[in-house]
Amino acid sequence: MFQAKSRKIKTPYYLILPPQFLIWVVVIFPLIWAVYISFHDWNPTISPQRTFVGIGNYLAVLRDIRFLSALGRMLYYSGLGVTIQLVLGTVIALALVEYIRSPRIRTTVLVLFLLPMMMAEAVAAQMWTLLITDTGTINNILVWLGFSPVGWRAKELALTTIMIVDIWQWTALPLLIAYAARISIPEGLYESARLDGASKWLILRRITLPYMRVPLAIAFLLRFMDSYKFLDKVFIMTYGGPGTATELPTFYLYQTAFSYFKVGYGAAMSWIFGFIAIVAMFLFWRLAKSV
Amino acid sequence: MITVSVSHLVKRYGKKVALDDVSADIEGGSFFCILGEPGAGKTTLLRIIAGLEIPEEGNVFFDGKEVTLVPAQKRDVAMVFQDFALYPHLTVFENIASPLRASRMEENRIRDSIQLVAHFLKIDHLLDRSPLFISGGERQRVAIARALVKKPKIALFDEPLVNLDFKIREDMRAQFKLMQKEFKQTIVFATPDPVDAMSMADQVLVLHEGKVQQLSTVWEAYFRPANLFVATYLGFPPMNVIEGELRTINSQTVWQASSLQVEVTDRVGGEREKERTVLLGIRPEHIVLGEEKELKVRWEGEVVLSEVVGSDTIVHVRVDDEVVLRSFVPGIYRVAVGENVKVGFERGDVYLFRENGETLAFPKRFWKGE
Repeated sequence: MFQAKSRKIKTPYYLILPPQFLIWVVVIFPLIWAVYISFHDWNPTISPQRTFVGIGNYLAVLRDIRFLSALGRMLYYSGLGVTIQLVLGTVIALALVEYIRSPRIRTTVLVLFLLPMMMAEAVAAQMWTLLITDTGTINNILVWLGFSPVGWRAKELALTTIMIVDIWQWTALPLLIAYAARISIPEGLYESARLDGASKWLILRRITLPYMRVPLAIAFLLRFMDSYKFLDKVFIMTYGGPGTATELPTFYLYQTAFSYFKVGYGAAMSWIFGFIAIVAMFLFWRLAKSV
Repeated sequence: MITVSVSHLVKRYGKKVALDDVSADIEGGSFFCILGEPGAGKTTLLRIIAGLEIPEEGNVFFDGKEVTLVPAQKRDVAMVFQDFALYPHLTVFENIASPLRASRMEENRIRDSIQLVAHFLKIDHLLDRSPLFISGGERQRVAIARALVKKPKIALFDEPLVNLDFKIREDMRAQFKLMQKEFKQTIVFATPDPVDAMSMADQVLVLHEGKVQQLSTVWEAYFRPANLFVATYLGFPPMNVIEGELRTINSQTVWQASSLQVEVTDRVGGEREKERTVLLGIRPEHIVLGEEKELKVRWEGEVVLSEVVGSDTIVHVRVDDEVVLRSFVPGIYRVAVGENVKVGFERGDVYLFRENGETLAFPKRFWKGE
């Protein structure tokens, strides 16, 4: 009797053991291991010897100009890029609802906008790489229209080019979220506002945007998280170059740990980078709640 | 105060005809009631007057000026929706203020206007609250305040009482009437409940399946209904209707349904020859139970049901194999099921309808102007 009871209680624990094991092996242990490594100087290609350096790695990362400028680039790329995606997505979603009355046409247009998002990141990056070469399709069109060709992958423009490609691919996500948020606003509120004599601008400001606030904040967060860990397009389109012009923290981190094999230094950098993410999310939620 | 006219309105939703050739004049300053069952076209008519819908045929006039295609924003009309459509993210004050903000009124004038209307509707204490956290009755008063605060040319109410409980509904009926007098506001009020119409309306438009059944004062619709639909719709409990035939017996015209007879010579005039099947209508409130010597028509029957509604009683009496009459007895009237009772009514209170529902004869009571 007693045995049966205790077995019953234990069963759930047995059941979650396999995933528990996986999480420990794949997530928790590497995290702890990374903390341990980050206090050491270790290059496994030179020697298996790990030298304890205390917080030396951390101090070095914080003084590393290359890391700090990569952070600056990420701020530009994420801040501007995600904002544009969000604004553009919202505007398109509102325009779809406002100007396209036929549900069938509206769905068709929406699906067309969503197509880029359904493409694999690597495929999109490869496709755009071909389009933006100096003699690629885009420059050919520009020349045909009478403009001079643009050096899309030149030092000054490369990061912006990647940003544009990312906007092309990912505006669909905030668009989808904004569309869903907009059509869930009760139509009665709009009719009520029209009877109040409210202008379209006032309706947008007093009904539509306040209603869409939370879904839009979530869309921003999702895109910001994605851009934070952003790597694929840089890797394929420019490989961080020319020079370090498109080197984002993730790419520099990858280089440090897996190309230069400065593993301890890389671990310290990833902890700092992770900490910044936590602080950013925390600030973001505080902000989202207060608005 | 303006006069609103609609003429020959037709509106379809797909195959369903919501309004079928509807015309009406709504006088400035009057309380105008649109009465009809759910789906009769009441809301559609309100929405066309408001400018939220455009009719397929017909026109809308405000003081003789055509406004059929003028958008809602420019009509200066207010509407209280069935679900109130308050902005949940704004306070009660901001909800009421929204039409004034749209017209760019000065802040202190906004405050004064809201104070005035909020005081009248007894919602001053709610102004800082969110509409999510007030009761249904309060929410409705907020919606009314929002409609009245801008002093619209015309205020439209779409079944505002149906979502409220019985007690509040009673209070609100009185409030509506007072409010209309206080603000000298033209009110168009759509409702499925004839009690609303009878307690508040100056004029009533009875709609059925998109067609106008009657447009008249509410008492005229009650005493002189245009057809069987209006007759049975206005009044609670609904009118008793018995199918019978007109016969000539000893040179008198008699309505007869098996054992039941009512002499109606002076009521049908020369029409008696043409009519065979005739429906007889008698309102439950005109049927008296017991021995009343004065009454001209007296039948006998057996009580099949006695229901107490509020503080009155409705007694169902079987007077013939297939005929059960409802009698409305004021007060609580105790009678046992199965008991034999006498029912009686005045000949003059009887309505007669043709087989197609058209009214053949009204009760005499109204002719004397009683």
